[in-house]
Amino acid sequence: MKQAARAYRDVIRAMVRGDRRSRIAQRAEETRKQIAMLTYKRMNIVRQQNETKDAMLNASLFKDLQLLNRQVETLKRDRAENDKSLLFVRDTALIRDSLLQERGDNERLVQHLHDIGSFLTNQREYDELIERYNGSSKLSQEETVRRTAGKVGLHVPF
Amino acid sequence: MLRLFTRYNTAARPGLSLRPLATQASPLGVDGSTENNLKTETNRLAKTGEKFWEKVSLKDDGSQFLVQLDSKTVLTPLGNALAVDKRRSLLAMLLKKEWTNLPSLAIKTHALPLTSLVSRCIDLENVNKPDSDPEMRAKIGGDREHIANDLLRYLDTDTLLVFCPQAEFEGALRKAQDERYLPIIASVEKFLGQYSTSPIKLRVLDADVDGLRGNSQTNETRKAAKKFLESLSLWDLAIFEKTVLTTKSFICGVLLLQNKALDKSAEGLTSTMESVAQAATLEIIHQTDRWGEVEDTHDVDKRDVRRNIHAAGIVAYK
Amino acid sequence: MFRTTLRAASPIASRAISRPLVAKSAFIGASKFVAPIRFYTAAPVDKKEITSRVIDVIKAFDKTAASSEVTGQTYFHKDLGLDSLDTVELLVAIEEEFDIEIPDKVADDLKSVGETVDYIASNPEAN
Repeated sequence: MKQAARAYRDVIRAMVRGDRRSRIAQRAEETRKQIAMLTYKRMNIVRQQNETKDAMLNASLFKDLQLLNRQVETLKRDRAENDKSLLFVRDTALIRDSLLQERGDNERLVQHLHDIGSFLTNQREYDELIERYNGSSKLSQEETVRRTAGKVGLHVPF
Repeated sequence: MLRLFTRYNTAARPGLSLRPLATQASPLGVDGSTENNLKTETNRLAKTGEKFWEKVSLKDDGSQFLVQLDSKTVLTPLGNALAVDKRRSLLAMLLKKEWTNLPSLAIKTHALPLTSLVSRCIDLENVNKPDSDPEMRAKIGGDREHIANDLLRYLDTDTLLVFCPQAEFEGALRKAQDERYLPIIASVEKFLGQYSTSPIKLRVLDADVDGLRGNSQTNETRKAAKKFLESLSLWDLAIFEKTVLTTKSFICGVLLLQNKALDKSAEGLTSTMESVAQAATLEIIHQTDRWGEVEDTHDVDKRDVRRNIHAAGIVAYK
Repeated sequence: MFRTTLRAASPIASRAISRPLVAKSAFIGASKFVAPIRFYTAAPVDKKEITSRVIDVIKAFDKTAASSEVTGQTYFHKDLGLDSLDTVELLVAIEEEFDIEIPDKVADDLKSVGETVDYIASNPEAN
């Protein structure tokens, strides 16, 4: 059982590290999208404000604006790094099942779990290195164009 | 920012029927030959590089686990369901994880090594069914005979059959090669002997004796090795192919299948995946020990070899 | 067309927006709760803080009984109802929280919050 628990620890460790990294990235992406959406709403309200002469409407628009600002501030303060639930793997049922199904060749399974841990670790480190050495690969087409232009002192008009 | 938002909005609409943009096509399959325009998730992903789903799940259909995105089964480049036998539940879990963990809208194909290999396994099985389209088979390089002949070439110049001169690394590399490779070679000869009426002797290339020349195996050896390849299921053949391409070694392919696809390996062929990786990169290990790691080369390659070998092992395991 | 509208709107928008935004942030700074930012130091973390962070991690674990009150004396199996695999998951989470790796030999024997806190306090790498 001790060997099985150690193999399980190996897999869980590798999973938590990989999952946490991508869950933080996903959350950041999600937040970014929401902020973009709220910013868009905010712009619409401001435009309405500029167009209207109605004081009542203007006051209510101002309230909406404040609410939106607050939401944006909350989103900006969101720190996925501090979320303790990201320290846990979400579904472990299938690994547990395979460990609990007492099979004759437990040793083979234990080795396999270590291998899975090693696979996940190598894949994660590989991804990290690729990202580090090809930093710009994550950029969008537009961003790449903008930066390329920037290098020679040009500004792209969008 | 706004444009990104609006663009995402159109992308987020459940549009599995949307025709993928045909620009910057980079097929997802490992073989690199699966260029086609079938509307499958793997193709769409490869072509648009955008994530377009919310939830990844596994569906248990009684005998298989199907990988699903928003309750639609993921299809391989040739349009087959991405599904694995229930005995491969750990693989199913890891496939799901691969799709769940894709970090953002920008998806790189190296992020899905298991999906690529499993897709290859499934597509190979399908194009080799008796009633399948020969054109499709040719398209993905799925002809058994061709694959086998290509793989046999690796036995001539197998990483584990090439020995460096004594003088290099003060004999340290040669010593390590002798210690590691010779027992494996002997066991593989015995193993291949099962597929032949006469004993098999592998020809090695010893730099001290042979200098620089090509190497080729005898006809007996080739025949036995071919028979061995013919004995493999298509699923295992795809795994074998992946391993051989990663390690540049036919023998490493044998070691991997022996230790991962079977409950018990043949005598003398028991090996961990880490020692397979080390055997395949022995010379590099000595080089980096001596001269240090070159950034963006050795560090990346080291992980790349291991993630690929392990991916093959995980797909093989049941 | 959608985009042209936006572009036309944006210069006005940015000017008009800047004012409420400034007022807004001052307001937040004064009265709103600001999420604490943890500053990591090289100095060893003290036991009280370790205990409270360990308890926070335990509380985020959905396999622990929600009602159970967690203290330094809490045992993973006896008090929280965790089996050996759950305990592995919990200890890995704690490792991540403190950015350490607990050696197998030690981890095999950690059975309570107190033992875990003692180990972390003794580990100079913990932060």
